[in-house]
Amino acid sequence: MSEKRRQIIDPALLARVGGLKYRARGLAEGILTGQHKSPHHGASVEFAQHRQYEPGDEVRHIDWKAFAKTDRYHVKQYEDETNLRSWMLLDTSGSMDYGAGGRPTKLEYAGRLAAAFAWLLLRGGDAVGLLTFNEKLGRYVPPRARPDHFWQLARLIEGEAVGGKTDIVAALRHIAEIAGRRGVVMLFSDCFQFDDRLIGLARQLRGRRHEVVVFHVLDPDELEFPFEDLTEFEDMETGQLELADPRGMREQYLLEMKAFCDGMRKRLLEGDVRYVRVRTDEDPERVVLSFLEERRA
Amino acid sequence: MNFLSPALLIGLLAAAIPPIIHLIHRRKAVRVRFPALEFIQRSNRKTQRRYRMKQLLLMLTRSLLLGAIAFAVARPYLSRGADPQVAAMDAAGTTVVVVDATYPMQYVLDGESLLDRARLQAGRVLDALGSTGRAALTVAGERVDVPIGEPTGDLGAVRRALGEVQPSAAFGTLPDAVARAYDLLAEQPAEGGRRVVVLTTARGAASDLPRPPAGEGSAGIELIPIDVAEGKPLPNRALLDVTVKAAPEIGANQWRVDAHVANYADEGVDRLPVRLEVNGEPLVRGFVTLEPGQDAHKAFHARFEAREPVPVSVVLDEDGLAADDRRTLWLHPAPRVRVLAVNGAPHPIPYRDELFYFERALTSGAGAAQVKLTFTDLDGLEKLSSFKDFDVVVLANVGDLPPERASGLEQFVRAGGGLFIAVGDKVDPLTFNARLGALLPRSLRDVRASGDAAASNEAGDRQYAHPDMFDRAHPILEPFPDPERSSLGRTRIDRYMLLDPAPNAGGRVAITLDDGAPFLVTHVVDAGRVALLTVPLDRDWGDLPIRPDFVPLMTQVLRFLTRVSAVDTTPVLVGKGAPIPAEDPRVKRVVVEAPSGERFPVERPPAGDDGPWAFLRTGTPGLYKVLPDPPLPDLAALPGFAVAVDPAGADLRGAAPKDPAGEPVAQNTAARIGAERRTELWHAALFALFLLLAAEAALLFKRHRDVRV
Repeated sequence: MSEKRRQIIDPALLARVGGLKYRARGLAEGILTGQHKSPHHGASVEFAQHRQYEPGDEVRHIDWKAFAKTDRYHVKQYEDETNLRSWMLLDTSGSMDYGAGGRPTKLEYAGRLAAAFAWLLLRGGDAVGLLTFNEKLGRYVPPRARPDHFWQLARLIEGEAVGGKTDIVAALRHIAEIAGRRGVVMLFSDCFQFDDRLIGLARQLRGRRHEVVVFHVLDPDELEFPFEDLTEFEDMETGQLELADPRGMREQYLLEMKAFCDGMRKRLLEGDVRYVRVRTDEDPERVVLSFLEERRA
Repeated sequence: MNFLSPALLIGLLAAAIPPIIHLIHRRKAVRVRFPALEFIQRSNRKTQRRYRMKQLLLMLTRSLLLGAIAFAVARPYLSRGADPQVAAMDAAGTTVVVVDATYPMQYVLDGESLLDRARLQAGRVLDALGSTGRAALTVAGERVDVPIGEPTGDLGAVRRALGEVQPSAAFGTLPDAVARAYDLLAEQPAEGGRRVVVLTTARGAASDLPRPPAGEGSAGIELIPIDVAEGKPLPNRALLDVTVKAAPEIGANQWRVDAHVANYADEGVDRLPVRLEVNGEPLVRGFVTLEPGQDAHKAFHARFEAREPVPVSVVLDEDGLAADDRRTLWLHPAPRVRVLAVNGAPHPIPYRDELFYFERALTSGAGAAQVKLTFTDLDGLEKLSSFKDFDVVVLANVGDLPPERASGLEQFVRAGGGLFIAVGDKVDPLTFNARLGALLPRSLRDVRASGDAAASNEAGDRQYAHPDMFDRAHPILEPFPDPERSSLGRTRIDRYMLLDPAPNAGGRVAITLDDGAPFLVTHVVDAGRVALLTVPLDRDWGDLPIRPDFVPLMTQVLRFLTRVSAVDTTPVLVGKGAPIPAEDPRVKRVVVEAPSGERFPVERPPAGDDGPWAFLRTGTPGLYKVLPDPPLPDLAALPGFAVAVDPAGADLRGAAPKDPAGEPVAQNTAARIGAERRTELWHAALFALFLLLAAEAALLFKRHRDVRV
């Protein structure tokens, strides 16, 4: 297992996505009224912080005392105000450590995407949790909505070790057990261990009104297979070796990969799970924007 | 199956290159950590077998392709005789094969050189010998080579020696090679017959090949010349000669290049392109039209401002025989002549100055680049310590030469210097004769006015004398092809210096006036030369200086006095010795650089050796450089020389081969050797090569499916 701090905080990216809003597709089961429609109303207990007023906020939540002092509108936020809970599932298996040609590794890229979404959600007052996993469950941070919670998540992603095999099913099962209410589950993985159990769990989550999104993170090398000379390929998770002449089998490889991706996409869509394929040479901002655009549509 | 060039079969080893490359590449497999190994494994399982088979086929095709190339260039053929047994019986005995490898055999007929055809036909002769025949081989190249001197039954050895025969640029060694063949046969038993088979052109066969000797030991030797072109015409256009000469009559740095072109063909040629190349770059292009069998001269005039020797080539468009389509020479620029001009009558008005016209002629016209002029007068001459810094001294109307200067001048001339004397009104004949009598071709006598001659000539009314008789063989008049009709012949002279008409007068009169008086006289004094002009260099006594030919005349006089035309540019024939310029005694050894860049050291012959100092390895036509070894600071290089093919070999027209008695070669001989047909297989090899190329292309062809994930 390699453990190194990776750079996932991109201030420019965060600044650009920070102004966006994440709107839950269905009813989010929150405590306070906010930007998400909630089946519950009212209950607020512990003051958490002030937040700048935004159109759509209840006028009665404006803190008039603060207005008198600062001449700006602020609304009070409470610890339990969040209407949306989200869980980020980040695959840290060995295969996620691949990155070539100056591109970030898949884990770095997935970390940046997860961080961007976490920032976006936390800026909207939503709660974000994180679970890392390989063949075992890794660290778990329960969802919180405090803005400084972002830095806790970021530190965890940056310092998380990479290695081992993958067991997505175990991670999803764990989330299914603890995420009782409606929320958003985002999975960032290369999904090479995709199987029917995953679909079953995803459907189970959907049945409990969770929005499930799978970010299928792949390096361009995996999608284009640009190798030319005779090569001995070493599996990043098992260390297994395979000698191959890429010129002779590129076409077949691409067909296999295409069949895998298309099959997975089809199965997930059938289970009402959103599937987003991401290349690590894409601009993360564009990925976030197109994802949000698609959700609105 | 036989091969015309069996040595080239070594190229079959190239068939091993593709497997070797494959093995090298296999060892160079790089290791890459990759996440999606499962997909690679799956793809490998599905494609590997097919891919390996394809690669194997590709490798095999490429190996066969390289092998087919080697096979084709080795020129395979099948030899089929009409009746091999009879042929073998007929051809038993001893045969000496004489292969003509001189340069006419480089003629390319139907895509094949005559030498290749000779090899092939020699192979056929060997086939006809059967198991009992014995053969030897002699080759007429730059010299006569005898690769197989002792007739042998090992015909394979003779075939190998045939395959190693190389073409030569020489010509004229075939008779010697045939004579050598007779010598070899004379020592062999007469049983089974003795014959000399000569493989050459029709022209070579029809030339004066020596007849079999009449001695007792040589009785019954048969000469069988074979035309390897099998009677096909061999039209050839050739450059017979090229000369390069300075052409000062045209202008400064002008040169004339003469090319002698011949059309040895049964058809005429209209506007045959001939081009002049300098330093390998085309400079001038011209055309020449030739009737069948006609030859003509084509002249080029061009301006070269070279300080160093320059390669000059005349080139014809390439035909069947390329060896005689180009001739290259060194153009040796004339060295700069250092001239001291002593002005005996300076004048403040330029055009009335004694040397005004002389200076203009040498600094603005022809030869401007080749002359370095220094002017002085009598005062300056007295201060001059010696003449060693000059090649030529010009005394222009110098009257009273100090005795010690005259003595120095005499030493200068005797040591090899040049002296040009132009008289004038300051010159007193008595004093001049006294001071420079030893150098003058003839003593000065008196000034004579042309009017005196007119008065004495009752029938005439002329007032001027004119140059009338010209010694055309004189080097000074070389650039004047028709001097009588030139501006020199129209020069008007109203006064001139009469010379002593002694019967045994010395010197050579280059130009004589129409009244018989010498106008320009030259004289050799020991190693030096003197020229005497009986008029001044200004217009006081005539209009010579304003005549257009005054410019080339002065240039030529200076060239004559300094002997600048000494460099001989005539090319040496291939195989002949090239003389090495040996004037400078400091040069004991030279290095000769051949056109190929190869260098050969040549030692000066020892003092007692009367033979010339010559370079003998002139086997390659082209330009050779001669460099002193070790180099001398003031002499970087000696004049190089050119080597050219013998133009006598360019005419390939000839009748069918005849035997020494003048009869056509016997039919049985022709049947024995010529009736055998060969089936060349290189065409088939080339066809196979194309098929293999197509197979390779088919294997490499891949239907591109644009799979995007």
